[in-house]
Amino acid sequence: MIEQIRNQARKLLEDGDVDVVIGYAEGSDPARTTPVFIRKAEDVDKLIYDPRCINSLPLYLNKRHEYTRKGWKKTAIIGKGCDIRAIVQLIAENQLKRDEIYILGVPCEGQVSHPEKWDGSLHDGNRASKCIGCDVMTPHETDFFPGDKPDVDRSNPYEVTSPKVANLMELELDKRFAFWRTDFDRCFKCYACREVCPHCSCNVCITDETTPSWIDPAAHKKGVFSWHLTRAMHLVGRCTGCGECTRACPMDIQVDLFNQRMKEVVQESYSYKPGYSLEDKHPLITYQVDDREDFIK
Amino acid sequence: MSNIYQPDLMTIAKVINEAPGIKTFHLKFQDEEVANNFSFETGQFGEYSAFGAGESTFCIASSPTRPDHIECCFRETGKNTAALANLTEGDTIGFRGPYGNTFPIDDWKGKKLIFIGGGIALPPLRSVIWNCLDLREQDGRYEHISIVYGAKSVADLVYKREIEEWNEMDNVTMVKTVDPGGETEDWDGHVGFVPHVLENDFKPDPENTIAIVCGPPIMIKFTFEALERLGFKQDQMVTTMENRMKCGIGKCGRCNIGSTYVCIDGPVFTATELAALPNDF
Amino acid sequence: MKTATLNKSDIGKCIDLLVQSDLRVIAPRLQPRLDDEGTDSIDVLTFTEVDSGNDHQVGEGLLPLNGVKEFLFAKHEPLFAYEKRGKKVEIIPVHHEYPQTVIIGVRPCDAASIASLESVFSDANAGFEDPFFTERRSRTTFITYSCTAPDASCFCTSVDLAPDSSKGSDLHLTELGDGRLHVEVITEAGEAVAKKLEALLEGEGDQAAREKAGASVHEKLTRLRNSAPIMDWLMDTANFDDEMWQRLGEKCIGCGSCTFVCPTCHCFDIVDENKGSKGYRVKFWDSCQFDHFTLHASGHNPRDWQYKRYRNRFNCKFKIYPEKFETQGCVGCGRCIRACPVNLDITEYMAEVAHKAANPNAMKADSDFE
Repeated sequence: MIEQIRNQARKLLEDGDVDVVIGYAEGSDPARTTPVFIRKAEDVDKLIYDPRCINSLPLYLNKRHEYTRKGWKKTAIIGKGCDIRAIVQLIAENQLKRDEIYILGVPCEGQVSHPEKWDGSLHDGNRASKCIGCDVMTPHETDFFPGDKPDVDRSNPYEVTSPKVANLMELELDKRFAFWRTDFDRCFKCYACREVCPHCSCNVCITDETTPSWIDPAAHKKGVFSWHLTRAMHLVGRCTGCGECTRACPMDIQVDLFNQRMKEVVQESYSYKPGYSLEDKHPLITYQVDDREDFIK
Repeated sequence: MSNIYQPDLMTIAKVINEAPGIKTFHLKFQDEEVANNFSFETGQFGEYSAFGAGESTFCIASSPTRPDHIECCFRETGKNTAALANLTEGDTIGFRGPYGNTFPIDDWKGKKLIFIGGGIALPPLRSVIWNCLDLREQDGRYEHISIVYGAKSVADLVYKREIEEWNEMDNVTMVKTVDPGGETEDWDGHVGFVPHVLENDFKPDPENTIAIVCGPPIMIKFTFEALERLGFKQDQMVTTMENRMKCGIGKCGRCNIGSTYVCIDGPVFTATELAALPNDF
Repeated sequence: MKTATLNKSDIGKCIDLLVQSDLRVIAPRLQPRLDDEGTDSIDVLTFTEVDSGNDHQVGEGLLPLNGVKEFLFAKHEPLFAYEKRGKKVEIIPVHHEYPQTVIIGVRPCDAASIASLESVFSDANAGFEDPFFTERRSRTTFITYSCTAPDASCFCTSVDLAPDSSKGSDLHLTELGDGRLHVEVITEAGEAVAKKLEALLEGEGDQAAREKAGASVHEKLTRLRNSAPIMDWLMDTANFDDEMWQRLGEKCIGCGSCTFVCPTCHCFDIVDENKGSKGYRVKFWDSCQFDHFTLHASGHNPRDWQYKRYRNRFNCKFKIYPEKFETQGCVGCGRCIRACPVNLDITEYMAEVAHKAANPNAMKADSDFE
């Protein structure tokens, strides 16, 4: 399968159809892979794909990482289903043009959640929870796909969310808050969660604004809570569930549980899941005459 | 153990509107003991704060030879400077300093001095200009002092009155210029960018001369190149650098150019020292 | 040097003794988990305050995620309070006494970083002494613990350290392999702590066994780099513009993770936090990897692209620290490697520099950035 991807990448570069192919290469230790930018056809053999490729690559298409995109007119990118959801959402939000991107779709049966759990293969003991219930294992929007694309029913408006969300929701409010206070005690406002997110694309993030200073940059409780809650709100209806924010957190705080909970709320209220349609407008920024209003009190 | 991050309180004794967006503050320490013990040397800077906003780094724009009060001159560009600009006479600000190294004015005895600056970069030069002028009045130690200064337009010139004062002084050559398009009908100075006027109109002789340059990084670069073409050696050229700063005392790791911290190893550098620094500014 | 033996199984009792003598004790602990954590949960090990010896991971696991930096150089520190009344301002000190603290289970890499932080925050640096750091440092004693099982990201032996080094330690523990620990009293502060643990210490330890056990771990490290030529190569300013910075740093996303988990990173910011006419001036952790770190008010940014920011970090660890502060910048703990979401690896930079230093006249790599 990867040979077909490499061949297509080689062809795209040789024909000058794309400036760069973004993909995965071997990482600096056997359990890891790393993003790679291939500019020359002879380098395509560096491209790999296996269950260690949990990185979401579309963050490099986000204008916040503009320096990386400098000079790219058309980009090819290897995408598994969740990554392509992010790309589709970026296009739907006008952050990218469809014809700027050539999507090399890859089939995915899941990714290993952490390098320390890699033992040579993907299995139920190391599969990331975001992969459970995934309906884009065969990706939905591609320019190239190795082999046939079977039909997949993606009409279910409900995404599977982690059982941890249900666990938290069962707790009483003060116990739930205590859980977050303990976890957030570790946060030191490094903003890794923001930088890996494909949808955090504000040129000047709200937390970097100084006139006025909306969010305290310091890592005390107020500064930490206000940051995470603001980010969760900014992503409502937009988060495509890649789980990178939690993976990137150097202190292993499960920040994406907020996003998952908000996803459930959006599903209940609007029957909407982002990242599936290039034309869909997400419910929080569009108005239809027949929008539900019964939850507005 | 003293809290090195805690400022001394100063009262704004006077506010002068120098140019659009640019103000000068005259400042006096509120605590008499602090006032009596305070001293600084020309070239040093401080961290000035409007409480509630934060600290900003400015040079001490007054001369140590005139210790009645200290001065700073700044342009309103962001949150901290906007908060300072909103203050008026009688208000309190915080001051930490003096920090940094100093202009080696003793080494310049017997030499001719040329001060070259642009726009808001005149204040650091102004401190050393008055310092040198005052010392020369005492013991005639500098042969000749020239000042080449320009701004975008006539309105943007800082220390307008002092430019005229220097113009009137014996043994001082005042070369003032504005950028092309910035002149007014009655402008009697040059028209042209500072490095250009320096190289083509003023054309100073490098013999026994020290050039002290201040301005944005790009202007320092062009001015040094112009001076080199005029025959100046690197150790005859001095500048004062700026970089984004916070603590001012070598701890927050922000203002470094390679291993050189502008706040403790500078802000005064010779062109020789600058040439040895990596391309990090 | 005074030495003794301690049973590893008595560490919990040691913690109890220290807590009972009114010391604040910080030890590595596993974070409690939600029920049904799913297949992708991992152990979260951090240094936290403990109030008994029942729940600790001293000598287990490897490196706590947070290290000891935050206990000396606080994540956020109010510097003073102020109150504005009309044209007047009052400054109110907010100092409160830092408790006497013992941090137990510190690995040698973290212990070695203490001297580095001291070289920045003490008055050895330009004569300015950070009183907050000094107070915390002077009231903290470090009980260190030699490593037995380095992981693939550890590389302390490549930066002149060792998994059994006692640099920075007050009281050093090394496993002898038979359930006993060899105890070394390194400093007076260590002596004071050893006295509190007298009841659990016995004999004179076993120096020979300790050295053998310690040395046997050195060969377990698989990540080996030659760091000797790095500083000289960096001192040549022409290399500051080498093509390798952009080639290796292209994938960096500027998340700042590496700087926050790094034991020697010390950058901070200062802001005023206001509430009406009162407020605090606060110092808190910042990162040279952030895009606005060096941004001038004029809009000029000396480090405008991400690869320049990572170049600064590498320089800080391997040139600025040893040249300016005369201490170690990188202690080989490997946290930055584990934390980086895109597998940017500082040891790859080290290898590239060593290669370039050894082959100065080689044809330049066929780079995309010529």
